[in-house]
Amino acid sequence: MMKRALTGLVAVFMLVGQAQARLVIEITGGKEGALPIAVVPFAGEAQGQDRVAGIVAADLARSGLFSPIAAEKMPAMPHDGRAINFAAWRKAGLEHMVVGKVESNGPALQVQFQLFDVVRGKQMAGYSIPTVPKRLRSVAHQISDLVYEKLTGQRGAFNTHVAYVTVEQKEGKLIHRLAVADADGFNEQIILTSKSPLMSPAWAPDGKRLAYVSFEEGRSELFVQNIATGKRQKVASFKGLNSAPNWSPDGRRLAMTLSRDGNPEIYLIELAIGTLTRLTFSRAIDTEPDWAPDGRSLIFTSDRGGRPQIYRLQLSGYRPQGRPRRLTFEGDYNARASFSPDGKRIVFVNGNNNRFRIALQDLASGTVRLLTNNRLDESPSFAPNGSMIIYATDRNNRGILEAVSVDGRAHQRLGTSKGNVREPAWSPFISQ
Amino acid sequence: MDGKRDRWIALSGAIVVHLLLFAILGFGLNSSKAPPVSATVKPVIQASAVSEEKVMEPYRQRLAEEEAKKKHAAEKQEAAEEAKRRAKEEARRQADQERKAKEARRKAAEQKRLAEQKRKKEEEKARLAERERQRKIEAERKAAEAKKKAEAERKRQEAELELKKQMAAEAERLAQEQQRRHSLQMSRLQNQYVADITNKVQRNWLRPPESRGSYCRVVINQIPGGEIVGVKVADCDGDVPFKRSVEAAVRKASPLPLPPEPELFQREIEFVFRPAR
Repeated sequence: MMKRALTGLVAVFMLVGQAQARLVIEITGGKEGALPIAVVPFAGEAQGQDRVAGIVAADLARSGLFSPIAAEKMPAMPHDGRAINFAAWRKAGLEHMVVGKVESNGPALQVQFQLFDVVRGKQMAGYSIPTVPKRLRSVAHQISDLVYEKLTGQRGAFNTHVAYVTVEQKEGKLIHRLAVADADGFNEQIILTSKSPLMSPAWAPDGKRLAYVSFEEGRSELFVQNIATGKRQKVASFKGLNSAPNWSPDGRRLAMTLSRDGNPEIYLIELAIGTLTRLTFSRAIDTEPDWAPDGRSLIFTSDRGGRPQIYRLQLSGYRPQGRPRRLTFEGDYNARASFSPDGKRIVFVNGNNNRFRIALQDLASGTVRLLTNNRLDESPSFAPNGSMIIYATDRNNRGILEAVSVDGRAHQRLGTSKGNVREPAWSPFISQ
Repeated sequence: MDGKRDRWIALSGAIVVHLLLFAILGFGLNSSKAPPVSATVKPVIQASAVSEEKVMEPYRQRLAEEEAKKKHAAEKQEAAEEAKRRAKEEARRQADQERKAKEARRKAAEQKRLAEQKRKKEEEKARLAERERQRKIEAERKAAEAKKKAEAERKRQEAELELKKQMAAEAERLAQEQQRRHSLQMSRLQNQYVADITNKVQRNWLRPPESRGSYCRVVINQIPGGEIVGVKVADCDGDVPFKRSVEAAVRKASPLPLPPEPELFQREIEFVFRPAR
C-alpha cells in the first residue's frame, strides 16, 4: 500500500520532472455559492430618492448568483474607478464591484456607473445614462441588467415587468385590480380596477398589451388591453367559460379555454379576424394552455386521466396533430404549466398531500425538481431570460409575490403591495 | 718392357753421370788437356777370319779397324752427345723439377694464402655471424623486454581502467541512490507543493450554483515569486459564471505558494476545474 503510494508519488514527480511536461492540478473542491460583489452607494443621490445602488444590489441578490455585501462591510466608498484601492477590496474577498454617481443636470439626471473586476483590477463596463428622477428605478434595473449580462453572459431581466391581480377588501366590498410593476415588485401601476374578479393576465409578446379575464359583465370574458393607453378590446365572450388566455409567440393568436361546446376545451382565436379553432376533444376539463416558444406545440392542464396533469399537444399549421401526450407523472396534481424561454423545461404547480409547490421539469430527461417549499404556491411564470420564476404564494391567508432562481436557491419576496396578490405574469424583454 | 728400358736408361744415365763426374773431377784434377779416355774402351766386336776373308783380311782388318775407329768415334760422339743431352736433360729435368717445385711451392703458398684468405674470410664471416647472432640475441632480448614492458604497461593500464570503471560504477551507483532518494524527497515535496497550490486555489474558488458537470482547463504562468502573470482558459465546458469563477479562483490565488524546493517551481501550471459531486 505504502509502496504503491510511493511509486505513485514518483510517477507524479517523473511526469513533472520532464522538461516538457506541464504540472497539472485538479481542482474539485471550492465553495459553491453566490458571487460576492460590492455595489458601492452612488454619490449624489438626494435624500428620499430611490437608492440606485440598493436597487442594483437587491436585483443581483434576487438572481441567486450574487451576494452583494452590506455597505458597512465595504473598506471604502469610492464613486470612481480612479479612487479604488483594489488590494483592499480583494482582501475583503470581493471579485467584482460597481461604483457610480448620480449627477443633477437641471431637472434631468445623469447616472454614471462602472463595473470592475477586482481580482484583475480592470474595468469591465462603464456607462453614463441620462434619465429623470421618476425613472431612476428603471435606470437602476438597467444597470443590474448590464452587470448581470457582463458577469453571467446571460441577458438580464431586471428591467422588465410583472403583471398581477390584487384583491383588496375596502369598506366591506372587494376591489379587484389589474396591476403592472417592475420585476422587483416596486413601482406598481394599476391598469384596471373592477368590482368583479379579474383573472389570468397574459403578456402579449410585444410587452405592450395584456390579455386577461374579467367578470365585470357578470360572466367571464376575455379582453386585450394596451397598457400605455389603457385602450382595451373584448376578444372572447362566448357562452360559458372564457378563460386562461395565452398569446401565440407571433402575437396573432390567443389560446384559451372555452366551454361553448359544453365542456372546457382549448381553442385558438385569430385576433385579427376572430376565427376559432378547437384544439382539444375530451370529456375532461382541458385548460390553462401555454405556447411552446417555437409556436409548434401547446401544453395544458387536463384531468382526462382522473387527476389534473400536464399534457402536450403538437400543432401543425395551428391545428392539432396527434393526440395530446401526458408530461407529468409525479404527484397527484400538476397544473398551470408554462414553458421556459428556451422551451427545454416547464414550470408548474405540483400538488401532493395538499401541498402545492412550484416544480420544474426538464422535458428531455423528465427530471422534476421542486423549487419551493410552501403550502400553497400558484401561477409560476418564467423571467424572459429563464433565470428566475415568479409565483404567488399564501402568507397568513394573503397572497404575495415571490421569485425563485431556477436552481431553487434564492427566494425573494417581491414588492410592497398590501393587497392580496394573485396570478403574476412576467413580461417579455422590454425593447429599449 | 717399358720397365726394362727405363731401368736400362736409368743405368746408363747413372754411368754417364759417373763418367761425367769422373771427367769433371779428372779434368778438374789433371788438366783440361787430358785426352779422351780410350783405354777403357774395349773392342766391341771380335772378328773371325775366313779364307777369302783371309785375302781380305788385311783390308778388312783395317776397315774393321777403321770402322771400329769410326764407330768408336761415333760412339764416343754419341755418348758425348748423349751425355750432353742427358746433362741437358738432367738440367732441364732439374730445372723442370725445380720449376715444378717452385710452382708447387708457389702453389702451396698460393694455396696457403688462399687457405689463409679463406680462413680469414671464414673467420670474418663467423665473426660477423657471431656479431649478427649477438645482435639478434640482443634485439630479441630487447624486443622481449619491450614486449614484457608493454605487457606490464598494458596490464597496469587495464588494472587502472578496471579501477576507474569500478570507481565510476560506484560513483554512478551512489549518484543513482542519491538521485533516487532525491527523487523520493522531491516527490514528497512536490506533493506538498501541489497540495499547497490546490489548497489555495480551492480556498479562492467560489463556484456558481449548478456547476456540477462543468469542466474547465486553465493554464497559468507564474513568475518565481509565485505571482501569476498569465491566465488562459484552455477549454471549458461550462457557462460564463463558471468560466469566470475558475479564472477568478486562480487569479485570487496569486501569488501561488512557493515550492519547498526552488527546483520544483513550475512556470506553467494547468488547472483542471471539475466540481465534485
